[in-house]
Amino acid sequence: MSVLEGINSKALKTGDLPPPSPSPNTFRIYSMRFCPAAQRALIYASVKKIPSEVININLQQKPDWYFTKNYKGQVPTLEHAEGKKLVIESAVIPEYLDDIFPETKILPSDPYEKVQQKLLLERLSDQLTPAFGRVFRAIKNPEELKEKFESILKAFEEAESLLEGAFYSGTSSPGFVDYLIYPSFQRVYWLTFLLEIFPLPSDNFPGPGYPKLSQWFKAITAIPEVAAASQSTENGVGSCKEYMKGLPYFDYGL
Amino acid sequence: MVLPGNCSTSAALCMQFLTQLASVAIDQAYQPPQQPAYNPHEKLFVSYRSVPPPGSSPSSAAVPIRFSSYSSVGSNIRGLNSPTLHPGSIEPPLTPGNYRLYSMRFCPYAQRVLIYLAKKNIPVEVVNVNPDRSPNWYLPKSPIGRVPALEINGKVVWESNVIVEYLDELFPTNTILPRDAYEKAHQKILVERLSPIMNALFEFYGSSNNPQAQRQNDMNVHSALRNSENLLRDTFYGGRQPGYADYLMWPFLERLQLLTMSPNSQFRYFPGLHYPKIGAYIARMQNQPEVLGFCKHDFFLKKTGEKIW
Repeated sequence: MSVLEGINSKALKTGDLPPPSPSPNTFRIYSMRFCPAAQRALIYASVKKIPSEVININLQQKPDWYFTKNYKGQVPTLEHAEGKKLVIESAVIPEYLDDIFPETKILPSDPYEKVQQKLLLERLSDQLTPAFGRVFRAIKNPEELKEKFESILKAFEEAESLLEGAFYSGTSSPGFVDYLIYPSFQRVYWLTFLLEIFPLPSDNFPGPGYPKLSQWFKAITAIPEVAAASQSTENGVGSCKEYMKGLPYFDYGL
Repeated sequence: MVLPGNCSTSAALCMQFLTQLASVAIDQAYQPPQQPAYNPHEKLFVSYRSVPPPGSSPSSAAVPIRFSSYSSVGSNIRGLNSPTLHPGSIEPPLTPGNYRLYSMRFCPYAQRVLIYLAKKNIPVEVVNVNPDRSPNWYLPKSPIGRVPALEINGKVVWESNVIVEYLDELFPTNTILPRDAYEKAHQKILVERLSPIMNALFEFYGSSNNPQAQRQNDMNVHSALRNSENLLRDTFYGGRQPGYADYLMWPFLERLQLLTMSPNSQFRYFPGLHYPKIGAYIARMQNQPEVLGFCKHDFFLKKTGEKIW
């Protein structure tokens, strides 16, 4: 039973009325179903079992009132304390949730180990997140694709080498890095269905060249709390196709 | 978006020009003075040269020195202006239990950490390295040889924003970040909201000299200053006392003042009459002892202003 309510609610857009302030003790996460940064916040809240209501925002036709929640109009935004507390930035929200719910803390308590997790996440994100975007934007230019593929493969080589055990947490259970980097890997996984010439396979993604990563991806995907906070492959791939056609995709599959 | 927290190649290139000219100027500053009176800020630089070399000083405990009215802020930092280490140099030995900060003298990200260390009075040895062409022994410590990096007992931490938070966790009695979770998150968000200051600085130094680019740069600075003025709702961004957001943004705001020396900018005064709160804020920050010890502004203006442009 997922603690996230409304993860597939229709995206609010220009002209839609603002939702009422969240009731006391209710956490609200403003999201977009296919945004990897917002997915990080959703996964963290899900794994920490924080009951949250999810409100999706149409990022191409943002409601005016949404800029009072997040001055950049981006997602995710965490709102609670009857709307009096707003926390933005996908890098800030997870630590904030660990601070206010220490009983389900995911980050290590040891200062050095905690720092290592944050640095590891930045190293992986620096390579993976832009790699997906570059490939996605180059889809209509086959001559550019090969070069973009190489940057993805390089990112995966580094990701494989940085994975020393079963998880990036360095323990027998997934941790901070595993949960927060997963959306970036999932996006590349979706590419394997979108592009026939993509150099990584869909089956046992990312394939025999990355044995540890393949086990890792399979394990994280199978975690119920992660699945509850993530979109299905069918919806993810479909939304990308809509995007490539220039069609609105926020409510794809609903 | 995670803000960059280090001097990587692009940032170092921004600083390289300043580094070269400022190094010449600083060397000249260490010539025997022709006048007996020192500029107050120059004294700070001179006083660091009088600190005995690390090898000859007794090991200091890696704990904050208890506050003493006889020790000035910043006295916990050794080697601030040590010669830069390049490829081919030998790694200086690090005594167990001692903190070392790998830095570059004009890196604004490293300056963040130095201000934090001075405020928290943590004894530290500074080793300056070339971030563009790092010594081979430095590369295993920090990815791509970036600075700053903090080392103790073989453990290395990099990224300026990560380092300072780490210091607050190691030495919580004089933490700078608020203990309240929401206030703490808010300080980090403030740094993000103030980041147009950083962007304006890098865009200014990185852009061409054509008039259109110059006007755009000035517009960016005005936009960043308007934003900063609006966000300043107390004496400091940290409240009544400077805090995390103040220390992390100050090195960039300090450097932005150099615009007035540039023929490529319409700024003749910084920040100018339209930003009274920021003007007063700059004056207050310049007088904070933990900031004063690492002040680049007056030194730059005096020693390098005539040579840079």
